Amino acid sequence: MGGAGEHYVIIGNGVAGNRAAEVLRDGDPEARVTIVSDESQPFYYRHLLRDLVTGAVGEDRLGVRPLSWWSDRRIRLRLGQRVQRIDFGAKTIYLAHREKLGYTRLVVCAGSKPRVPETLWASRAHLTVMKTIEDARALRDRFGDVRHVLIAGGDMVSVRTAAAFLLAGRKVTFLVDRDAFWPIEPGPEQRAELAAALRSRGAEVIEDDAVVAVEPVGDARVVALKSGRTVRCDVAGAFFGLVPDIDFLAGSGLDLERGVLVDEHLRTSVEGVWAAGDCAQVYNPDLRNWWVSVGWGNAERLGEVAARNVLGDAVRATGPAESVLRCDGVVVATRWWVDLP
Amino acid sequence: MEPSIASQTSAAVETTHASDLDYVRRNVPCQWACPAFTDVPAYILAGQRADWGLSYATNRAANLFPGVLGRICSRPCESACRHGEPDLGEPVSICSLKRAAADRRPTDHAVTERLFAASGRTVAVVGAGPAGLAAAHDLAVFGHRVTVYEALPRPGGMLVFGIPAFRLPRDVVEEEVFSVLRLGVQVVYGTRLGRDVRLADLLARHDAVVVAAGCYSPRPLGVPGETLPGVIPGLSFMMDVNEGRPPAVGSRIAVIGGGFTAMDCARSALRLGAAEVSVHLRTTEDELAVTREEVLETRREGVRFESLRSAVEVLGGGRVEAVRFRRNRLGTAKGVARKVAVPIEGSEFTVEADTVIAAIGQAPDAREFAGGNHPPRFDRATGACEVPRLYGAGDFVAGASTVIEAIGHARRVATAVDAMLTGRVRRRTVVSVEPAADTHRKRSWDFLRRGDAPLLPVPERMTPPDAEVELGLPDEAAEAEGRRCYLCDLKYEIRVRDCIQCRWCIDVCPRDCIHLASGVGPGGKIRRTTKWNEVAAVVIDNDRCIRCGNCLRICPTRCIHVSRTRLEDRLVEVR
Repeated sequence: MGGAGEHYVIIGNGVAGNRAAEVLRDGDPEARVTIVSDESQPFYYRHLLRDLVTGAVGEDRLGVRPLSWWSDRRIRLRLGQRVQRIDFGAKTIYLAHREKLGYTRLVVCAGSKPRVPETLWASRAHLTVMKTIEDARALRDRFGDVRHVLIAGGDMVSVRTAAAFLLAGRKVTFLVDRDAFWPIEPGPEQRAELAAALRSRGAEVIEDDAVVAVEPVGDARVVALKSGRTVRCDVAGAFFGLVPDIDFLAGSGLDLERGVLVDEHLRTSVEGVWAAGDCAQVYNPDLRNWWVSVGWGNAERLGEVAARNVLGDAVRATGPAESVLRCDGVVVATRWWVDLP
Repeated sequence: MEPSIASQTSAAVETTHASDLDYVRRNVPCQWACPAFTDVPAYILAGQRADWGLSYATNRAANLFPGVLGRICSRPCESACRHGEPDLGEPVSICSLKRAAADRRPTDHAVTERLFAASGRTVAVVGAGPAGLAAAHDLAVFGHRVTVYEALPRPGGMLVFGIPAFRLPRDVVEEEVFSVLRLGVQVVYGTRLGRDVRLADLLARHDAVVVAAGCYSPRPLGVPGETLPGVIPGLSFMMDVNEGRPPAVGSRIAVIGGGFTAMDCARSALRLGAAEVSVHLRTTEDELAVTREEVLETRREGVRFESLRSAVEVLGGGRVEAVRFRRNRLGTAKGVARKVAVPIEGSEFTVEADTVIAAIGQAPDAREFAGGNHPPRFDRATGACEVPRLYGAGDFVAGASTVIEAIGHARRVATAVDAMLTGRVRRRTVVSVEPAADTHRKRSWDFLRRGDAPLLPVPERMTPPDAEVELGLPDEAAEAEGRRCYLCDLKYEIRVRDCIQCRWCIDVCPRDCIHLASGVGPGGKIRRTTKWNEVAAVVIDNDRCIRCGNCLRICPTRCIHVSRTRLEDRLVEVR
């Protein structure tokens, strides 16, 4: 296998996808390697998005690598191209702009998207999320008029985002929503610790309450809480963690649950297709369950494992390394709690 | 092209030709998908013109309970809707428009029924659920004296004892059930077949017996520990809730199963005050038979879904304390469209629970029938079986299905019973074709977005617990939704003798639905061509056509003819 007839296609331009592309190129110098992504920005640091919003960094600082990195390795970047559906039988990817793309082996590294709890779906349009550079640009462009930000939830990004906004002189109300705290359910001690840390930086912290609805009033948002209280703010941010971004695979025939179901070798239910990174839900016989992972390190590791298996190895994606958490019916591997502010 | 259909006609024509039925199957997919053949385009068009009375009557003619179905139908029509095909957007919210008709019909709207003269024959119907009532209605229309034997104290069956009031308000059911019973149908309540009345007696007393007793025997989990206190069959739970004596529920409730009953149990348990409710599925949410909206609303109310697991044991001392599950993966099975659960060996794990609701399905109670646990083999088309004059209808024959399937089946059975009693088929499925003076369509309407019914905000749903969750489309949205319908009952044809093959219609058609043809091949299939000197005709492919009317508007010779095809179950008189 391998060689000039081979066309490895990777869906996703994040950590897992780029790592997989790198390993595939190193392992098979002759093959075609293509990365497809609906984002137009080459591989960038997502954790800097909050600083992009506040103006602490410019867009030039976001890139992980110069474009020459891909051209030197003859990895074709197809950016701004959305996958509409995949015909696994014909090994063909249908792109939204009506181009067809054939592959011989496929690695799905589609990543994740912000999770909005079902209870807030009716308010989705009025909530601000921050996952992509587009989200950050939109908020940056109106950040000058923003005085007061409400942050609901409490995922990896939320605490750092709150800190960045406080540093930029904005009023921050942080709603420690116990049920929506994601990806973990912190104990009372951890919540107290978190609240103290946030208060010491000047944030207003609301505990034991939850968002019920968000209504727009002009450019402002009025957030109704379970307790009956309302908070008027300029931005209502939803930080309830991330979920696999796999809507485009629904009905494709691939086995899916919350993410793409894969075995320990990251093989999907379809021959010749692997999945890695945030979108993969990996079975672990020791846990007797599937787990999804978040975070740079996990994504990089899974991207590498998938690529090596594509090349013919039989590497196991060993269980979640740092810590295993259960939330919303999903086992999550993460390490974010250890580096709280 | 469609040689058998009364093409290019100027007067209405009726046909029962198989190829005309097949035309409707391919071209009016919503109506064909409906087990009762509800004339969807006709009732949507009536609603679009604000004639809600006609819209309701068109519905009722086929499905008898438009108000009920407009709320709880499983909507096979929407899955088939042409508007939902790739690149065409989303299906029309057909079910909401059915409810719009029921909610808006004028109070003095007259229900018209054509009644046959009294026959002097009597028929017993067992069960006053959707199937029993549908059969009773039709048999009464045919002129037979109908007596319904119902085990429970009220009519409605699953509509009132299975489905919770927050999905289906009881006054809606009562009104539409009354509309059936007032045809002179007698109901004997509190009379269960096998307990209070024997099948042999019914057969002796009546000229025919239709058993529409539904599926009321909960399917057991079949695992150790399922008899422990705290394990409740899903249907028993719902019946207790619906009869106003809700069972005491604990704080952690595990519902096992993924059908409508499981969702209803989970949502009802929340309304009874359970702190934590989880639904445990063998496969995943994507593989369930219930609608996505149903799953979403259940989740929004706070129910947690846990996928890929099968219960292997219920654990506990004097009472249920936990459930032991085995992890599944997804797999495929021959002849099964959905993915199936494949157990993973050695993957058992335990989930704590103080109440377990086992909602994994129901079966018919067939103890009254000779041969024990299995009902006789009923013919699916006619409901007849090897016992003369004995028929079966609805879920009792088909297994737990949907209200609309039960109604559709029961009406076919009633026609068969009538045919047995009178020696004549007095209800026939007929295709009628008539010229359409107006298409009632605008191209711009094709771009309207689907409007879904607004819902009661989650916090307001729990008190009172029977507050209706779905609120029905507001006036403006109902009008807009009606306009989204392509009205697939319209049939576009090009009159060959008038067509000058200018091809303007091809230039303006939005969906590659008008072709150049060199002739007709085997089976009436169009032979397409791209060579100008081979063109025999320009033809419209109604399978792909979205009835936008662009061709009609641009045609310089007015050679495009539009007719309306209707599929109806029609009463046939012998003069």
